[in-house]
Amino acid sequence: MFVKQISIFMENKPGRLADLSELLADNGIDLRAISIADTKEFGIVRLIVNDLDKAVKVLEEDGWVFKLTPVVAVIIPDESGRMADVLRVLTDKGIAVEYIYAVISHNSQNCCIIVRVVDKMGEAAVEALEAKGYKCLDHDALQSM
Amino acid sequence: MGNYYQKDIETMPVEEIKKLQGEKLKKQVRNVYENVAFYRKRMDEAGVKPEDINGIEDLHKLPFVTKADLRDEYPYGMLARPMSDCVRIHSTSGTTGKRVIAYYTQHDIDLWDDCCARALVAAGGSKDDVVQISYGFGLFTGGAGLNGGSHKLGSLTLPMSSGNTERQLQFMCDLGSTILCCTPSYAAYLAESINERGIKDQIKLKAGIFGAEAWSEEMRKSIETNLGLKAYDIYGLTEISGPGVSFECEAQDGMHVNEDHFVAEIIDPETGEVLPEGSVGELVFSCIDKEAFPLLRYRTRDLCRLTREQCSCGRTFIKMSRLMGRTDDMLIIRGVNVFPSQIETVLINNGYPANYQIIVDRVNNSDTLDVNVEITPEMLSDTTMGISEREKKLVADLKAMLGIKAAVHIVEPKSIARSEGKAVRIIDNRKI
Repeated sequence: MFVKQISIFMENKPGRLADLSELLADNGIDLRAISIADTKEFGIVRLIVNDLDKAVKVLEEDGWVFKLTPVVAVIIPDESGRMADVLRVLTDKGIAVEYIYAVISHNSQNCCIIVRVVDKMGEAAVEALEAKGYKCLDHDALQSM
Repeated sequence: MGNYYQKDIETMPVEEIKKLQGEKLKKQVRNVYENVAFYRKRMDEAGVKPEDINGIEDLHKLPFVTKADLRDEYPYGMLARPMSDCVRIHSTSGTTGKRVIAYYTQHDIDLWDDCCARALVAAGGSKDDVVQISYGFGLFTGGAGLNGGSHKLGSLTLPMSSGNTERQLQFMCDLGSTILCCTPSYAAYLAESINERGIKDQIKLKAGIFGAEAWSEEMRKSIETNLGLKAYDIYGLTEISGPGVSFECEAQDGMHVNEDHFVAEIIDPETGEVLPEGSVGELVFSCIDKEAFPLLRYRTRDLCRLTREQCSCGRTFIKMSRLMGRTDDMLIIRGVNVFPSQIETVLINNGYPANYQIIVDRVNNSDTLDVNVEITPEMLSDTTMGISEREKKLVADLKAMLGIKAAVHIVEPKSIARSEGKAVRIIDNRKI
């Protein structure tokens, strides 16, 4: 019940994000979600794409250093207080969150939040959320969103 | 004409110096041939017998000693005296954990102290001075050498060691230090700190003896202006004794080699041939007076020039120029010897392929060391913290290996400049 995120290392230099975006665009890869963590010297670009296999091939060929990270994609109604509730569910189970970002869909009443929990707690997170009635997407479902 | 610590020796006519060196060399060669298996083997291999050495002109017949030999003979192989005759050791920083240990008898310490006392007097020092020694103390020879020289001279000696700038400045002001001994970059740093605090009027320094790293005339001028003193260069290496192998006089134009103890030669680093006076080449030293660790024809890998031109100070000792470089890839950063192979070892120990670049620069008269490491998938984490932790670990391991702090930057693959497919490992932007 996980979604595979591509985590890409990028030096904090002008134009690098544009380089990456163009590479993906030129190869017809569509982004489902993006988030960037940055420091003074480098950043980690986190992507969820519509065609993972193709994206991996393209990135490898172009020499980027990246890894695939399993993340939890939870569907929540697009209304106030829902993310707070999700976090409360995880916190009550003692599951710490490393980072979180959201995908808002235009043609739905729902949105999707991507949650990266601490290592080895992924299964427990999915279990806890589903027990509370939340739906967690698998990779295929998110790719075709 | 200046002041001398041992006038008869320091101003001895050149012919007499050479005669004295010849006599001492003859004795030393017999001594090492009889007492050190290494020398006996090397001389036998080269077909040289002690009786072939009858004067300083025969020095070139002896085989060279290299740093690799010292590592092979670690830890006692080069000892020419029983351990029980030795009173102290000092040690170099060492490349891959294997250091060079130099041994000293009391006689060796005494002659080293004399050399440093000569340097202090040449810089205008006397028993009335307050000598602040801000070189590191410990296995490093910097602190111990000048400390011994200052004692011998009868000056009030402040064994401060390096670092703790607040305390350095407090003692400098409260005790009225008149001579400062440290690395030139630390002198520049102290000067800056003094200016920041606006306490220049409380500083009584008149001279500084700055060595253990290469520096420029420009840097000398800037230190002299900022600290209000005259800045003198000093040279030495642990293998030969420590600081004071050669020292600058009032002329501030090259360093006089203490020729009654050390014989200097310049050789072609490729062929090993001795080059005529004035040529630039590799500096080679022979210790003709030491007991415990008397290296003969030791190749320093430092490039410079020697001259016998008469010096205005009246000293007759041969003068060596500023160092003009190295024959190997050793870098001297903040007075510390750094080999790229040490950095490579740390990276490999951390499980990284050794794709790195070392960038050395001088910012505000202080050396900076930056290490760029190309990221690999193994090093990658999906959080910035994960990568920063790795950076911190590398910084700590490099500090432990090198003894100085390096800034580590993790960079994208293929971002390190390559020339003809080969990565450019070292960029030294310092202008010396």
